[in-house]
Amino acid sequence: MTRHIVFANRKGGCAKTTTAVNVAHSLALKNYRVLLMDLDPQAHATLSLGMVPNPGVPNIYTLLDGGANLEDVIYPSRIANLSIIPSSRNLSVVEIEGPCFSADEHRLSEVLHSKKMDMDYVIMDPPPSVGTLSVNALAASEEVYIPMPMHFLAMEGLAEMVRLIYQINAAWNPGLSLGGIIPTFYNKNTRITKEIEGDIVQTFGEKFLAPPIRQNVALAEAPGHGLTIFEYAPKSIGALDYDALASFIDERH
Amino acid sequence: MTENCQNSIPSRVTLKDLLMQKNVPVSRPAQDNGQEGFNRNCSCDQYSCDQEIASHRLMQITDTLFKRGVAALKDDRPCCARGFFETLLAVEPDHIKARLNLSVALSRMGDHKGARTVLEGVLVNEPDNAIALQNLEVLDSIGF
Repeated sequence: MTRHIVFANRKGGCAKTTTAVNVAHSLALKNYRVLLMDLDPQAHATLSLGMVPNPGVPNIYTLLDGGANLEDVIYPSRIANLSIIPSSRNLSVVEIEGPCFSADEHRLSEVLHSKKMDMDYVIMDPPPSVGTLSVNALAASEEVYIPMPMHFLAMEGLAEMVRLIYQINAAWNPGLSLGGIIPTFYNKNTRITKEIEGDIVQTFGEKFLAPPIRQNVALAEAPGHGLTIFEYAPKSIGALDYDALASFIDERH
Repeated sequence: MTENCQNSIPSRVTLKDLLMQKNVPVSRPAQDNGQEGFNRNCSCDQYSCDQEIASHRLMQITDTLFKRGVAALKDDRPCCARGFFETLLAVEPDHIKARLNLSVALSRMGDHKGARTVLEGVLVNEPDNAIALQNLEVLDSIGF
């Protein structure tokens, strides 16, 4: 059975795309068939896999607009077991056109669940905003993981995400549940990190606190080379941390 | 001097404070369903869905909430179960099975008084409800 996972946070710069890309690759390394779905008009997940976003070829926009079938927009990546539905800048039309766009909140869910997929994981990377694209991703998923740096404003963003999950649950997708909160840019020695970790455990329970992703410059460098952390620096702490996170997610099921 | 500075720093805002500010129920874990969204579901004109679809969706949601509550009870997570059943009852207050299970969750959390209140509420609707009577007897036997 395919697991549909979304890494979401309305706040930008919280390592959401880095997490989606590297968890996808780690799961592929564990011999799972993984589909990475880039739902961000910035196309950073597409770029991170070394692909050039091209509005001229069928992509996630074409799929949501009804101009292509699912099988037409899935492209194999150079990484074994990992495929991608790329994004491109024309996807921003979805957010701009809003209600005029033919894709409603259920569009992605309908497309994904209309036929059996030959995938173990579908991993979605929505934009850092609460718009049509993010709602589509949340409405089409069973699990949401929230990457967040350990500082106060990110915690406010977390509270807002929890509120959004409640809304999505009730209005569009009762099957959506919180998978976990992923501390990113993690430094265990700071007081704020300890306090926020304590807050998360106290509010949600220990099992919702995912393994942290430590601050690691290789994680910032890898996308510039069109590589994942497992290709760019496989022995870095970034690779170790994402491997641990992928195992955590894999074992959650 | 240092002491004065420290005293002037307001106490830290916690995640719980933030959730409460946003009217997100903090007694329930985030994997359950929220009452807030049901209000949105009711305003279905906005989403161009007709009454039948809205009604069907609501049934699906209550069914999901009930199943999740039962699963949480079986999984020894009474706090989560409480959240599911309370949310369900906010939409469907007369759901007897949810009320019976809520009493079990409350009892397992140590809130025997709350459990009794829920069971007595069930008996107002169904004076002969065997499960409610039986569970009240259990509470009596342990002195609550």
